[in-house]
Amino acid sequence: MTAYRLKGVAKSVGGKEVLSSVDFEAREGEVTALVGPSGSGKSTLLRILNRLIDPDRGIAEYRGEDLRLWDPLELRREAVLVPQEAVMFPGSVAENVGYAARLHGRAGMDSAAALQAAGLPPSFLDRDAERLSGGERKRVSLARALALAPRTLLLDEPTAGVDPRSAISIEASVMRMRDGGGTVVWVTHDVEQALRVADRIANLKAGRAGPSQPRKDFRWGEAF
Amino acid sequence: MGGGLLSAGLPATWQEGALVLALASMLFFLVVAVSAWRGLRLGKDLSTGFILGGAQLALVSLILMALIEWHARGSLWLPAAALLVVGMAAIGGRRSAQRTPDMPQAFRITTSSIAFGSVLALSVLLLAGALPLRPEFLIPLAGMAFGNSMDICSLTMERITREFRMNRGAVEARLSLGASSAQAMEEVDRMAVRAALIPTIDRMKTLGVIFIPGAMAGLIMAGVEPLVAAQFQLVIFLMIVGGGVMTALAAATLCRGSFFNREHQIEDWV
Ligand SMILES: Nc1ncnc2c1ncn2[C@@H]1O[C@H](COP(=O)(O)OP(=O)(O)OP(=O)(O)O)[C@@H](O)[C@H]1O
Ligand SMILES: [Mg+2]
Repeated sequence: MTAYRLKGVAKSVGGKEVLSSVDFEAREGEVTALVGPSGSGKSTLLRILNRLIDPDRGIAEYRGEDLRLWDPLELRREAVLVPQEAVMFPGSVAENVGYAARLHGRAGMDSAAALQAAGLPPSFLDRDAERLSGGERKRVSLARALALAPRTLLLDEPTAGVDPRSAISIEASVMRMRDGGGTVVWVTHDVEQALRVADRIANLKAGRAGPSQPRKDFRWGEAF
Repeated sequence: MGGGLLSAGLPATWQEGALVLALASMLFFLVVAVSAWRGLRLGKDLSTGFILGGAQLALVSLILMALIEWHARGSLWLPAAALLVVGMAAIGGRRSAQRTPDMPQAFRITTSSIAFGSVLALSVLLLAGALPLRPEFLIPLAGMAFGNSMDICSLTMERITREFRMNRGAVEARLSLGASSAQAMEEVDRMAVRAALIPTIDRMKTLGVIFIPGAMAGLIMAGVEPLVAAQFQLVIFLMIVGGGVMTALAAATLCRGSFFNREHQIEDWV
């Protein structure tokens, strides 16, 4: 089953055409890595996938239905984006991780479990979120999303600035989620990581992308 | 009596008022002379301000006198007063909207917030019977309510835009977890509304310590017992604070319509 199918998607942001023609596909139960040089529009594409923004042109579908027909709140609860920049909400780590549960009146996953899956021990729950280090914030930001037990995860460089050991544990959690049938779109600059986690790889360059390739067929020579 | 020109202390007719004003103008000429002497170049601005302010006050007084007369004759004064109030809201709304020139719909937001807060505060006092429905009460108090609501509205608009831009990442992070635009804005709204109300609350805290506010001063000079004047001043302050809180909340709520579209997406202009 396809989770996402985009064809000829174009998007201008702030008067600049960021995406000019993007074809993109992500399948359910797979990790699709999204790679490409800085400024090629990867974050912009992820924001289209959870309807933080809508494309100007082209076809964009999630689970067989036009993205614009999805209620944005319902979609964002199901296809959760972990932004590139990990911004903490005021309060404790527990309050941060429990945010979505408070919002929607139900928890997909226990806060401690979500935190652990993101590579932090439960002892962090009482810490002041705004005083964490950069790498710790990244993991709390991921835990906030995991706590919703989403069907689809949109990850924007989730391990950038995170130590290798924690990065491996984050990778393992995401793979577990995928093995449970979850869909993952994973933006990364790290070739080794893409080779470890991705089932398929999509390449975005200068606002253009063709269909994603199976990992073994992907030609790295021209990717960046 | 202690040296005053008039037996009753306050001028009783406009002729007496003109005499008092003419005498007090000495101070104006003194200031203009000093400004010229010290090269402050304030003379022109001072004169314009004095004449413009005087003309505006005269106009309001004439309107008020007409309304008071209509009321005394038992004719319909309320529609005219209502028109005046709408005018106040529009003027206040325009000035307030100038603080955020790039926000779409700013004038509509400020005007309706100012009108909502002020009218609500006035209505509560009227309905509670704390104020009589008479032009000599309604127009001056409406002026105070609208003036203060305008200031608070300006602060709210300026602050909410600044906080939004500064906390855009947090707002987006909340949206990304399925928060509605209202939920995503809770923190920003709270900060903007609180910041907008701090000057008013500070003023209330220092009431009587540094200054005797205008209404109380006026009542005392008109012969009202100071304790009664103080009580009435508090009524006025309740109106100002109540109207201000409602104005700020309304403005914050209405701004959401300019920050976001119906799909809970952030608009391009922000
Ligand atoms: N609000 C905006 N206004 C103007 N330009 C923007 C805006 N948002 C993004 N851009 C531009 O769009 C381009 C793509 O940005 P985007 O963040 O999608 O890139 P990216 O591939 O995620 O880059 P990186 O790998 O550095 O995170 C960049 O050139 C960026 O400057
Ligand atoms: Mg990016």
